[in-house]
Amino acid sequence: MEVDWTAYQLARYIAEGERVLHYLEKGDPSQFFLERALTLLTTYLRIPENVSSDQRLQEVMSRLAQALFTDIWPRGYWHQILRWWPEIVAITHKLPDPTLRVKIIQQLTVIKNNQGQTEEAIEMVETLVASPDFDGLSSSDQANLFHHLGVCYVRHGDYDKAQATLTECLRLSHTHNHWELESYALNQLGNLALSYGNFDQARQNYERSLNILLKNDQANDLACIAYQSLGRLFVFQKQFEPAIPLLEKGVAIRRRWGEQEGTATNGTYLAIAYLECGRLIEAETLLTEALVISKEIRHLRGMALSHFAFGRLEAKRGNISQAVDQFNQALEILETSPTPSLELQVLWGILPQLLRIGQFVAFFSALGRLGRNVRQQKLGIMTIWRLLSARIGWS
Amino acid sequence: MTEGIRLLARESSMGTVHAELAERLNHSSEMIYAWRRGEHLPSVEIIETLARIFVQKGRADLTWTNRFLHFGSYGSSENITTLLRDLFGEDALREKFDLTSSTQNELVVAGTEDGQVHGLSFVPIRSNDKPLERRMDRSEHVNPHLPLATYSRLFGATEYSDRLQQHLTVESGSSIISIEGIGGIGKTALADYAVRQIIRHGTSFHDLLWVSAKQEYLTDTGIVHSAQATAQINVESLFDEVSQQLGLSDILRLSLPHKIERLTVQFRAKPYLVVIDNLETVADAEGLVPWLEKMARPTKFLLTSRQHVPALTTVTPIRLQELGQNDSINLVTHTAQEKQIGSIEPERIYDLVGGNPLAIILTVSQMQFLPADTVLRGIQRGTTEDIYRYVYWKSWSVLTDHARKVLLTFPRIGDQVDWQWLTMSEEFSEDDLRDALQQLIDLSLIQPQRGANNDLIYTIHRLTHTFLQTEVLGWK
Repeated sequence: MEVDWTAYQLARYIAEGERVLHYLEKGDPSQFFLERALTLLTTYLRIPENVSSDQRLQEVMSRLAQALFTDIWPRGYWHQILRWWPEIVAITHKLPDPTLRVKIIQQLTVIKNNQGQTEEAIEMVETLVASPDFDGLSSSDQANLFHHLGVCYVRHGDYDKAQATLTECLRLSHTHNHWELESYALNQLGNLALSYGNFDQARQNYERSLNILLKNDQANDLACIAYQSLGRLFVFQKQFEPAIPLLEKGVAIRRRWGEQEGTATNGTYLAIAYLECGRLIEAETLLTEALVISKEIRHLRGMALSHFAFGRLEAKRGNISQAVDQFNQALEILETSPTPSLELQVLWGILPQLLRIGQFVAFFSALGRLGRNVRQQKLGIMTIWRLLSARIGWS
Repeated sequence: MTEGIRLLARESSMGTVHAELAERLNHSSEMIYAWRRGEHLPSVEIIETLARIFVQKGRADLTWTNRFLHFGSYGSSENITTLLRDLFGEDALREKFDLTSSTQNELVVAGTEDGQVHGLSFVPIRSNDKPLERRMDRSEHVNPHLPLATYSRLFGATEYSDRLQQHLTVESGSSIISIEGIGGIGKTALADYAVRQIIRHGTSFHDLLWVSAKQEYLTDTGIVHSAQATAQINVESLFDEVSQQLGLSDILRLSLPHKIERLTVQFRAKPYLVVIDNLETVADAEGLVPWLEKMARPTKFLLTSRQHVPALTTVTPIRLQELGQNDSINLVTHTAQEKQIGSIEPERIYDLVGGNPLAIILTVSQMQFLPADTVLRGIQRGTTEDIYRYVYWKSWSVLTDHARKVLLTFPRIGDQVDWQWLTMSEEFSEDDLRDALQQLIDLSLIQPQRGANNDLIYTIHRLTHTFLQTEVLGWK
């Protein structure tokens, strides 16, 4: 009897989807395997809708997408997530369980935020938080969503909203003993304090975050987040000696994980510490690696950060016009991927260089942009003074 | 090689001398099993020793040994001939292979188009293994930027190749050449072949750079109208890749105009050969050409594109067409020899199938399973699409259900499937799976190749993929 090949193919999607989920749960899949699994998902999405409307199939594929994300986003599959996750979101709307839908939307907005589509990400997450689905989530999922929204607000410069959201995340996670989320919330609150130039407050939050992670045996894993934040703070305060070992530890862990964005970002902070200590060749090597990674994964903020650091490197070498070129590239990227706190630092970096080479029109243009930036971030005089007197800093 | 070695091992009763082999080769019994299972590739030295043992024990004749050495990626054709001469003597070789025939002068390469064998005129390597030339090229350290090629034999490329050589090797030749043609016709293969020829015959180029954009297929519309590729690379990324290959990492940080300025200085100072493969996948490809013009001389650019590169006077197009009668007949004969099919009528096949290389290969392959008359009876000369549709359905009708199921894995998993993935399925025993794969290979519906980590992977041609999607599953 002739096999019904369409039915067979759909059944295989279910069987292989479940099998892949099983493998992913076992952990540490190879890149080749991940690519095949991602293709399974994307070829499923190309099946005509009237053929693939089986609810079990839709659920398996949505679960597969959710599980895959954990492995593919650190490896830089951002383009693919942006391309396919909106279609997964559409499928999850047909499923009864809201949890899956919330998680897929959250995953999509993580990438949107990283790609500079922050306003869109904020709108999507705010809609989720306001929806009836939110009440059906576990406290852990709720705290996670608040944390993510807080990250988006910080990135966008909405510091008041960020403070409220992250505080709520901290309360929820502390109450329900979600230590991981509690440490993340403290880390973001530290970033927020840093944006205001409250260095002592930032340090307190980072150290509390680190202590939680160390208490939970994360010294060689998740603690890299706190190492990076503390290291960056020390660099901000021109304390390079304690900054370097922390940032080196952070980079080593990120490399071991194969986490692209973290390796690039942490590497850039380390490079800045190196260059301030006169270790220019090491700094240049790290920055080149960071720029290559950021370009590969189209991480616009990472690219801007690298160009900003390259600008500092060139300035250190006395190559003023090259430094200006690097700062300008950073500013150009930040126009499409707004990150006000980073933009402030780049503008502060370029202004004296423009004066030195006599580009007065560009100088006044940059000064105007600086004014708009300060207004957008609603920074007070003292905050501006604290931030700019540090002279080097970055988001 | 693994599938081929396994098959040949079975034919030669390799298993019966397993323990002795382990002892004589100074390898563990487990390692021998691993070779037989296809999990590891024996070294060239082991391949040679195995061949000598089998010949010595009277378990292998010249034909078997020849196949064994090819499957084992022993080396270049010259290396294989030398060893065979040593094992069997000059006379036996002459009698068997007719070494004076003109086939010696054929181009001994073919290539891939988007990772697929077939196209212009090329025969997939018969074996289930890593292609011969790969190992040869690796050993010669041809060029680190040149992609690994899957080579067998290229028919009908002489004229194209000569034209290319003229432009590339003569200073007054065109500085920007584009190889154009439909998907699967062999553009990449021709570019690859030309580059290897230049390297082999000595080159005045300072270095070779090869940039290839990845492709993502999104739509399938009809069998012949192969899927459209989406733009995945922008001009700046392309120049970044070139900079990295040049080892000029400091260029990466520059703005696009500065990048172009630096690369122009580099390319004008020394002659480079820069291949940009799959130009149609570069966003704003039209905008790229003027920049290339600025950078050219003495550097030369070789482009491959499915679409016609804008008719600028500085770009010399080479448009690939279907095979002519003679080349088609040669391809038919060669495929029949590879598949060990006795009696065929090449002219009749050409009359019916025309000069579509893949259609020829698929048709001839079917003759391993069906009488030639049965294969050819239903073919009516018509549109290329009609011919492909008929040929594919015929191949499908020959397949066992196991083989069909294995083939349908590809539309799910993409154009490459590896052994590990296939064994994940609970529905086949290992033997069933091997038999199914062998049937698909024999029918030229899939190709065994080596992946990045030297793992065995199976690839499928885009047209086969599209046939399954649109015809078998009806997902249009």
